[in-house]
Amino acid sequence: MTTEAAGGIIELKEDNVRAVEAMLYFVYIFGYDGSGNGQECISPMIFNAEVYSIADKYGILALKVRATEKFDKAVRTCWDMDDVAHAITEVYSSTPSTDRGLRDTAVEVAHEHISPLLEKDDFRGVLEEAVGFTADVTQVFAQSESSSLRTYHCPRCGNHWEALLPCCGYVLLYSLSQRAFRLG
Amino acid sequence: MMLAGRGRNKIRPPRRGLGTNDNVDFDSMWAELASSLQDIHNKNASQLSFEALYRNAYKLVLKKRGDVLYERVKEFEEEWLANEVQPQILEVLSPSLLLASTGGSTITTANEKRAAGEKLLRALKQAWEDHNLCMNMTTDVLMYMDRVYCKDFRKPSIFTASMGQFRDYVLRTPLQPGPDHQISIAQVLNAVILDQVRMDREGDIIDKSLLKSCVYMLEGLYETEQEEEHLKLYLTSFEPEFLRASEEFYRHEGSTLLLDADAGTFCKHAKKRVSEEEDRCRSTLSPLTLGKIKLVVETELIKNHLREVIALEGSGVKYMIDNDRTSELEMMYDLSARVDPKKEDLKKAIQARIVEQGNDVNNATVAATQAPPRPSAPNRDRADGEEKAPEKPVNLQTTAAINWVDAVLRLKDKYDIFFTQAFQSDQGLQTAFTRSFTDFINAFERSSEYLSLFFDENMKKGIKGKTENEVDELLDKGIILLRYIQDKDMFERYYKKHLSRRLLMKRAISMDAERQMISKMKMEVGNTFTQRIEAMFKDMTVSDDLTSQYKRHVAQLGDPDPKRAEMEINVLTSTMWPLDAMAPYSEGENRPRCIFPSQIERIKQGFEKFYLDKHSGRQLTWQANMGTADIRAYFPEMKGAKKTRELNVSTYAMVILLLFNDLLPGHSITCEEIQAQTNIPFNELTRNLQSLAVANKTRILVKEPMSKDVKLTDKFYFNEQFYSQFQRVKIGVITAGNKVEDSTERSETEKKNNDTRGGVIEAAVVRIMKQRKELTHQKLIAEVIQQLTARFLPDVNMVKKRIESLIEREYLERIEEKEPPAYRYLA
Repeated sequence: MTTEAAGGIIELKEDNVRAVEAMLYFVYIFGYDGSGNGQECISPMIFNAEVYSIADKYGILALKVRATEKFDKAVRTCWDMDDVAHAITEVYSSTPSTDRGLRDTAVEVAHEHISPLLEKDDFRGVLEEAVGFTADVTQVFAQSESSSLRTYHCPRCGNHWEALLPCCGYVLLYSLSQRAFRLG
Repeated sequence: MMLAGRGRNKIRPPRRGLGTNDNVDFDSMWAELASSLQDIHNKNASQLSFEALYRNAYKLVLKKRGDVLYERVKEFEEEWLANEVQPQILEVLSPSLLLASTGGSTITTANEKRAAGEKLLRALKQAWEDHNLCMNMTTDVLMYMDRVYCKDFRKPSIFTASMGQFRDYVLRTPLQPGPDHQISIAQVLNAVILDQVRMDREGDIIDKSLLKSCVYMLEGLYETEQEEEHLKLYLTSFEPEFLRASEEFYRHEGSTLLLDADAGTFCKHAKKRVSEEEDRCRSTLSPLTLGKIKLVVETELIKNHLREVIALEGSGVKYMIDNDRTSELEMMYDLSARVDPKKEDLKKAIQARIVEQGNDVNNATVAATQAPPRPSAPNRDRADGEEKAPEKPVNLQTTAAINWVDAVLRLKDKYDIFFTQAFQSDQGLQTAFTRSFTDFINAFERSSEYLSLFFDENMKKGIKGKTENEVDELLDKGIILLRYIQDKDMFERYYKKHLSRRLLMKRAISMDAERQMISKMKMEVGNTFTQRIEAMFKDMTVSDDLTSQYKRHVAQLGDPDPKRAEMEINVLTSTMWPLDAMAPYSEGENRPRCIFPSQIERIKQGFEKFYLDKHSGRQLTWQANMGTADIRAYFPEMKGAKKTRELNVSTYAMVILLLFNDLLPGHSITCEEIQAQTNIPFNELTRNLQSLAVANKTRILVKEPMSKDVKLTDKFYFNEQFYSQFQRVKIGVITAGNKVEDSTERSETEKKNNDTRGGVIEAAVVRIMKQRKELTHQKLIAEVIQQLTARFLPDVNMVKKRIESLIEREYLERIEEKEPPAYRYLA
């Protein structure tokens, strides 16, 4: 009925060649090369995000899962590289907002390394422009704030208070009664 | 495959734009999609690129315009269905169809109506198929939207939504505006289908597959978006009307069929209808309705009319039974089973017929036994030249008795055939039949006696020539009858009496058969009774030995008297044999000893000595009322030839005849003299004299006067003129055979039986009280009945009397203070 059916040819007009290649490989051998070392060198973060996107578009769930894994690994290793901003942009523009697969990873990594990342121009640019990314990051920070506050207790006077403290080793704190006590 | 290559830059700008272009993008993208949808719906998709459409929808969803897209598609569908599809269907609706569905009548013929209906069905079928086709393709195109938008926002898929739209905008849109008469295509459709089904039921040809297609449509649509199975349109909108219409149809058909008043036809028809409806569900409607329509047919057609059908004069169950219409009964059973697992109505009708037929048999027998005696049939010659005494009317009675048993067994056979061939060996019916048989058999007073006579007749004659299997079968049949009889102890009483006569008169054909019968009886009634019978058999074999031993003994004694009579001896253990039953008209007191002629007396004493030497301490009593004797009678020469005849007579008759040896020619003896010389009891004397002097062909004696009855003053002469063409003449006495008891004899037997029962009841009461020590009156009665019911049903009053008697004899005592009343066992 359609032209494709009549002619036997399906023309993918707007899809990324490399991503399509990876998709086809996957469909046949259940794997693809996500390193980005192909014909043209490309950041694995960006590449795997592209593969994810095409898997989402054409509804290949297994490929989405695989791409997520590869993206994950790539981002945690290469977060400090130049491409990270573009990878985030790619993620946030090529998937629907309800699709959390890559977004959560991106946000988590951003949160973890927020200070060094903030020193990059690109990254700050992405914060301004990538719809939803800033919102996600802010939310994560808000939650982690409240969850990393800890309750401490003075054995002498019985007071409780909350504080965000570095989490290694012991710290001696004095309450008003100037007694030493532990870390919780 | 054409690749869209892209160069790699070090820094790549974000690919997608944000914000401002969206609205413009949406509208133009939507326009493209909409026009494609139009093409698809117009079946004009050949120029469309699936990839382009898919990508289009994909981008819209990605841009978070999925909701708008969804709504726009829905709007599109709604418009399409309401403005394009529904009007097309409407065009096909003839006014007559519309009228018909509102309940109005039309003047169109059946054919016209059917044609109009088919037009509508075809149009709907086409519309439905087209809709499915379009929506399948639309769904494919919009797959990303379904997968991402619909799922995330919990909307029904576009396909599901469109089905609901088809339901609303094609099927359920009112055809005319306004609050009244909200007729829709759905209702017209229902009416058309129902009409076609009606035609099909009436035997007209319809297009079943066309109907089926529309049914598929109804099965594929649901009331809600969730598409719950029980809310299929077929089930909510069509089926209830179908069932209602079917109820009416079958209600009417049932009454009509009844008017024809033929049960067989009704059954056939009903069965046909049920299977027809089942087929209809498969081929025309939906298997979902299978169980429900079956129920409708079974209730409206069968259940509501079954009782009347069963009772139909001239074709109902009674007729079927009487005319052995087994296959019709089978249909009747099948129908009954469908509407009532217990088949109560059928069961009752059959039971009534059994009891009716049984009572007919009973009444016919009673009538036959009271009929005046028919003239005796001419005697057939027997091979050995014997001649029997002429037929006495009592044989008629005995024949009637045996006929009764035969008739009951035939009845049983008849119903057995029905049971296996028509009623599938249904256990419930079996129980009911047994109850009915038991009822009419026990309503018949003489059942136990007649059954025993039946066995007697067979053991004497009936089983001659039959194979072992046939004999077995026959005995089994009789035993089944015994099972029905309540007064089993009466049966035993008669059986013993008849058996002892058989044994003593040597009329039993096969001892094997006799023993077989006893073992079968053992299984039915236990072995206290059969032990006695076995003792009787033993006596017979022992007697055989005794007779031959005695013969040898006599030979050794060397008594050469050629005139010494030979003796065949049967020694009976008195407690085992029913001696009192075998003696007719026993006077109750001790029988006077018969006076034997001297030569007989000698032999008698010889044997006594021989026997008592072997078994000292025993006492022998000679039963002159039993037994036979063979006498050679010498008559004066006639026509120059010597005339002797061999006479077989009863013992008493022998004693009487031998008196005449001492008589001078021409002299007579009076009856009174005979009695004095022989000491034979009067009534037996008379009967023997009658058999010797009155009975037609056996007048060995001449009686003066020639009247039938015998008075003491009658004179008897030896009949020198006696002639019989046969060399051997058997002069039977009435008491020789087993026959039906007359009312006097019967009441005597019943009395004796009741006396025995009294003893049995007492034994049971004592046994029970010994075990229980204390028991309430009610419980005691109940236990007694339960224990004895296998042999007879104890009369409650008799039990009470027996308890009183036991109390008097201090076996039990009443427990005074107790309420309810109770008894205590006294050790």
